[in-house]
Amino acid sequence: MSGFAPPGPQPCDARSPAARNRDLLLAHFRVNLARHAAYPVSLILEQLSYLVGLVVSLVLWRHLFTRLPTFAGWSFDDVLVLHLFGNLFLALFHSLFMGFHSFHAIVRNGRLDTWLARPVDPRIAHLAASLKPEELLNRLLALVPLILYMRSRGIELDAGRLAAGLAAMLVGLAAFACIQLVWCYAAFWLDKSDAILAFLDLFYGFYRFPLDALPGVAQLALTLAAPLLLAVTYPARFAAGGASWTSLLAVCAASLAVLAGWAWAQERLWRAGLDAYQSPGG
Amino acid sequence: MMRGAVLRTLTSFTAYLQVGLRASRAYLFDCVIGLATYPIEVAITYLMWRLFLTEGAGAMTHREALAYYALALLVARVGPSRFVSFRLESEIASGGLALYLVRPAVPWAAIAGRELAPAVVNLVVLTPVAFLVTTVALGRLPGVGGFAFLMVLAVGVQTLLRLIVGTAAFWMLQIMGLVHAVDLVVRLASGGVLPLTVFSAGVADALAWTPFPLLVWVPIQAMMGRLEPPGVAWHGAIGLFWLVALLAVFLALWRKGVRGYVGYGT
Amino acid sequence: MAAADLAIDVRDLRRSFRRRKKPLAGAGWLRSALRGFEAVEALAGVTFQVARGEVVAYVGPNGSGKSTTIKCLTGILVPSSGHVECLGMVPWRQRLEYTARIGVLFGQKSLLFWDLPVRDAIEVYRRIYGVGGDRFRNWLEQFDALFGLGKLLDRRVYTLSLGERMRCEVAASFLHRPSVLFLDEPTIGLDAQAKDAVRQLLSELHRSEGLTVLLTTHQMEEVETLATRLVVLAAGRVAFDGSPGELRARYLPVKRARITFSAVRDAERLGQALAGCRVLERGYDMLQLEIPSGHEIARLTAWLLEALEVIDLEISDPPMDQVMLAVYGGVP
Repeated sequence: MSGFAPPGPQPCDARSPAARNRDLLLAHFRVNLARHAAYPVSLILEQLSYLVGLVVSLVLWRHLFTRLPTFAGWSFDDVLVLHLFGNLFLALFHSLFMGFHSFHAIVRNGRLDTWLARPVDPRIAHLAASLKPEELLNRLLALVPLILYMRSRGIELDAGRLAAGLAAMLVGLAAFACIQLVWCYAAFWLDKSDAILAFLDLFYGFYRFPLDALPGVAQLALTLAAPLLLAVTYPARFAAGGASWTSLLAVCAASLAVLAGWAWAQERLWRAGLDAYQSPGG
Repeated sequence: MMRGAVLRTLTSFTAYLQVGLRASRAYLFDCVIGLATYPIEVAITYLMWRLFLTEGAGAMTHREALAYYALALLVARVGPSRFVSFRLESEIASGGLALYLVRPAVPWAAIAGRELAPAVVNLVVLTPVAFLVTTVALGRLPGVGGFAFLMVLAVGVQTLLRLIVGTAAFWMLQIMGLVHAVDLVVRLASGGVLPLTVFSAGVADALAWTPFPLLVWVPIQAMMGRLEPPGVAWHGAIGLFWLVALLAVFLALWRKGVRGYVGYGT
Repeated sequence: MAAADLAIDVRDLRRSFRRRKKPLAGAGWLRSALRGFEAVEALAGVTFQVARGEVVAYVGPNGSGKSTTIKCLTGILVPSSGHVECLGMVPWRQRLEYTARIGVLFGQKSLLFWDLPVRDAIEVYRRIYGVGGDRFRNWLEQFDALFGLGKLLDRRVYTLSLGERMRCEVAASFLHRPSVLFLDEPTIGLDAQAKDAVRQLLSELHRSEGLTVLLTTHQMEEVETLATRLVVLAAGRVAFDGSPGELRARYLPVKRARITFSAVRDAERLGQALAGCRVLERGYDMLQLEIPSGHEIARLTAWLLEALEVIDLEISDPPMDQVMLAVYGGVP
C-alpha cells in the first residue's frame, strides 16, 4: 500500500465547476449510449414506434385538412413544419432533460443523497445520469422520413428562418426544462407530487397542435405555465414563413423573460428545498 | 383448477386495488390535484379541437362538443392509464416481478389492481361532474344503464391492451416509444381525440370491428342517448369477443415472457 | 484536543423532521391530511469530536439518529441547529469543496449502476473527482492486489455477489483518496466471509493511509475489529463516548466463566462460590457463570478450582452484543 498517493484533495483536479459538470455529462453520455447499444433489437423497435406515431399523426392531419382548407391560418404544409419542430423539441427534451422530469423521484426515495455527498451539483448529476443519447438518435432518425416527405411536397425552408426558429425553440426548451424542475421540487415538501407532474405531462401531447388557435387567455396561461407556444408553435410558424422577424424577436424576448422568471424561482426553491430535505430511506 | 386460477386472479386484483385506494387516501393532496385538473383538461381539449368539430360534415354544436370531451376524458380517466404498461415494465426490468412470483399472487392482476385504484376514485368523483356537464350541455338526462355495461367491458379490454404492451418489456430494454405509439393509435381509433364521425364512413365501418371504438366512442354514444338497446347488445358482444381474444393473447405472451425471465436486481 | 488535530467537531447538533401525527384513517382523516403534522427531533443535542486518523464506531439502536448524524456530516442534511465542522469546513455550506475530500459509503445505497459494468461507474466517478491517469492506475493496481478488483471491473453489477459488490463499493469510495471516510452499515447483508474481507480491506486502508473513519453499524464484532472508540447514541443523544473497554466497565462489568469438570470435590465450597455469581447454564459436567469484574474474580475462581475437579476453565468478556443490550436497556 505504500504506493498510494497521500490522502486529500486531488492535486490534478483544478477544473472549474463548469468543466467538472461538462466532464460528468460527457461521461454519462458515453456510458448511457453504450448501455443501449448493447440492445440493438430494442433500439430498432423503439425506432419503429416513433415512426408509427409520426405516420399516424400525419395521416390524421391529412384527413382533417380534407374537411377544412386551413386551420386557424395553418395549411397542411405548415403543420408538417410544426411536426418537424414539435418532434425535434420532444427529441431534445426526452433525451437531454428527462433528469429534470424525474428529479422528484430521487428526492422522494432518498437517492439524492448519493449526489449530495459528492462534489457535484445534484441537478446536473441527475441530469447526466438520465441522459438518453440513444433516444436522441432514434427520434432524430425518425424525422428523416418527415423531411423527405416535406421535400416531396416541395416545402423548402429558408435556412436563415430555420436556424432562427430553432434558436428560439432552444430558449423555449430551456424554459420548459426549468419549469419541470421547479414542479419536481414540490417533492421536498409534499408526500407525493405525481398529479402535478402528470398535469404538466398533459402538455407534451400538444406539441403537434397549432396552439395559437387557442383563445388569447389560454395562450397567455400556456405561455407562462408550459411555454410550448414559445418553444414550438411560434418558431414553427416563423420557419414556415407565416410570421415576421419582429414577431420572432418578440417571441425570443418572451421566452427569455419566462426562462429568467422560472430560473429565479428554481434557484430559490432549490435552496429552500435542500434546507427542508428529509433524506428518506435510512 | 381453472376455478382456483380465476379466484386467485380476482383475489390478487382486489387486494392490490385496496392497496391503491389506501394510497389515494393517504396522499390526499395529490389525489385532489389530480381530480382538479380534469376540468382544465376538458377545457383545453375542447378549445383545441372545437374548430374541427363545429365545422364541416357531421358538425356538432359547441355544447355537444364540450359534452363530448367531458365524457371522453371521463372515460379515459375511468380506464387504466398507460402507467399499467410502465409499472409492468418497471417490475420486469428491476427484478421486482420476482417478489410477486414467490407469492401465491397473480402478478399482472396485482399490478392492474394497484394501477386501477385512481380510476376508481375518478369514477366516484368525476362521473357526477361529467353527468352534470352532459345534462346541461344536451338539455336532457344522459343514458346511464348502457354506459355502465359498456364501460365495464371497455375497462377490461383497455387493461388487457395496456398489459400486452407492458409485456414487451420482457424483450425490450425500454418501451416508452411503443407505449406512446400504441396510445396514439388507440386514442385516435377509439374517438378519444376526435369523434369517429370526423373520419370517412369506410374508416368508421372498419373500426367498428376492432376493439377500439368500445373504449371511448361507444360508451359515449350510449351516454348521449344515441345507442338503442340492440346497439348496446351488439357492441357488448363485440367487446366480449375482444376481451376473450386479448386475454388469450396476453396470457400466451405472459407465459412466454415469464419462462425466459431472469430476476435480476433483487 | 487542538483544533488542528480534529477531523470532525460536532457540538449540540440538532435536527428535526416533519412527520404525520397518525395514519390517515377514520373520521378525522381529512383534518389529519391537512394539518396533522408534528416535528420529531431525531438529534437532540449531539456532541462529539473525532481526531485525525481515528476510527470511531457510531452505534445505537434503530431510529437513534445515527444515519441522520452521518447525513449532517456529509452535507446531505442541513441541521436545525448546532455546530458541525469537518476538516475545517461546514459540510452543507462548503459542500462542493468539502465532499471532494471525503468518502461516503452507504451500505443500502449503491454507488454503482446496477445494469452496467463496474468500470462504467468508476469512469463516471473518475470524472467527478478529477482522478488523473496515474492516480487511477495506482488505485487500480492497489485494489487489484487487495482483492482482485481487475477481474470484477468488466462485469455488470447485477452479476456480482453482494460481497463482490461491496468490495467494489469500498474501492469506488476510495477512488479519490479521501481524508475522512463515512461508512453507513458497510457490511449489511453480507455473509461471514464477505464481512471479514470488507473489514480486512478497511483495516488495511486505515493502517496504510492514516484515514479517519466514522463507522455506523449494528455488527458489534465489526466495532471491536475496526474501532478504537465508540460513540453510542440513544434517542438522539450521546449516551456514551469512550473505548470498548470503558463501555464494558460501565454497562456490563462482568466476566463470563465456562468450566468443564469431572467431579465435585467440595460441595460446600462450590455453594459459596456460586453464591457470588450468576449461573447462566448448568450441566452435569459443565457450568457457565457470570462473575462480577474486579477483585472478586480471583477469589471466586480459586474457590471453583478448589471445589471442582476442573478439566477446562475459560474466562472471557461477555459478547459486545450483550453489552449493547445493557446500554440500550438502560441497565447501569
